[in-house]
Amino acid sequence: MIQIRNIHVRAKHVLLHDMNLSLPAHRFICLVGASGSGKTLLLKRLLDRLPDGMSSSGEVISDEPLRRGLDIGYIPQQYTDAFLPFLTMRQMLRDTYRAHGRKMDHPYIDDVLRTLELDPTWLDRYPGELSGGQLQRFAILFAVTLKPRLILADELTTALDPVLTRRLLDWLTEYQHQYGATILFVTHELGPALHYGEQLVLMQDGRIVETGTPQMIEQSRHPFTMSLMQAHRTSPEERKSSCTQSYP
Amino acid sequence: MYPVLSVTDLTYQIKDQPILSNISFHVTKKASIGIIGESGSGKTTLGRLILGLLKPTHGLISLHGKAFPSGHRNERRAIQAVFQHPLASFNPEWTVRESILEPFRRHRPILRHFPATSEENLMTALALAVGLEERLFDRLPHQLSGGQIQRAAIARAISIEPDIIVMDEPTTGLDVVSRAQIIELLERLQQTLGVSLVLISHDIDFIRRLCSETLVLRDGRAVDLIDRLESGSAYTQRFVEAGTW
Repeated sequence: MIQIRNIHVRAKHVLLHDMNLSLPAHRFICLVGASGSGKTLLLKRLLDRLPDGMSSSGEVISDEPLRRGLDIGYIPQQYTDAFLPFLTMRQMLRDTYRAHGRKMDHPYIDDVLRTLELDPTWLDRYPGELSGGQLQRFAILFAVTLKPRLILADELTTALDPVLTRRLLDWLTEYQHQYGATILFVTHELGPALHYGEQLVLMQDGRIVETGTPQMIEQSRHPFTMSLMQAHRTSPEERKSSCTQSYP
Repeated sequence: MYPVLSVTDLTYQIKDQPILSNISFHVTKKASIGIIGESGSGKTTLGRLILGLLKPTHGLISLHGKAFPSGHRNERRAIQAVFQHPLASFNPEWTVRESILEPFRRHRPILRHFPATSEENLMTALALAVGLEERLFDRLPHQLSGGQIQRAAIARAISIEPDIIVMDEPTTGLDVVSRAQIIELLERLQQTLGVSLVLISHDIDFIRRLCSETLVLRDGRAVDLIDRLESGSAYTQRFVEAGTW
């Protein structure tokens, strides 16, 4: 269990307003909100990596130690920035194990490569020699290299095709069950969150609006949640009432 | 109906490596064609070929029955693009207003729907058409949100009343509400301006809502050209199912 208590982040303005949230262990939790709602900032606060010029108060309490890199795996939204351009994937992987005094777990790495449909020969490539989709999957490999108990995945599926999106989320679910991990998946898309999430946390303008299971969110009477659900639904009749702006 | 855009047997190769092979389809007035497929299937390359940004190895693209691109000035007005990352398509040092007016100033088109009497009148009409407050046009591109800059890119594309707009992943990165509003906006523009749309997207629901026909690409080849997503091959069915939440 991770407890977020009175987390408050500000720069010139308040960006996260007194957040209180309990993240149960071994769950697939989805953090859903529009751009600018504070989702990524909350992840960065959990990682203790707030950008310069921001101050924060409040605390993050965990039942178990959460050491960055070892217990927490982070898949950043800007995954291309996560690689050193002058090292191959294999060199970076080896350095990751060395940094934590571990031996490379070849069978595990081979298994992850296979699941993520990454060709093992690509390990000898530099980041500039791989496509965006391939780099994104390598970012996942690096995040899970040391089998962390908590995975923070920021907009993991943006720009991925539907088949790959499902494959990655299925695999994260398997990982969660196999290693008893907690997944915190940040997304602006409600569909994957309702499908994969065991608990959803909805955010707006730096505040938590509502938390609950997918069923609770689908039946919620909260105006913000209802507007998200309405925009998400497929029927044009249902959709019309969610777009109230009038055009010529 | 007479096609606005025709693509016939289009093939594109890089060093004898086929990227797209024998693609054919056409788009009529007010119609929308969706182009879907896995990453690396050739969707964006097809979009760039349609825009005349790449030269086909063989095959033909025609606009209103004439080979495109021919180099005629007016044909550039007829086909406009909204790219995957709209922010990157705006000059970061110009206000959004300056960027939107740039194609209008270059083409000086005769407009049927928007008032061309003055730039101010045109901008007011465009703001209303895309549902943006006009004051936002005086900001720099990075000062707009993802949904706002997407609307601004659409405003720029429609400002010269093109016959076709090619859009590459227009909903990527948009939250559900912004996305629903963009769908509503495109439906409306199609009806009011009579524009045809070529929509390249991973977003199956977006394609389902807007497109009268869908081309499914796999490894650079057309797997299906269908009017209902549910009527495609087994491959298309799996793909559509994966993208339906």
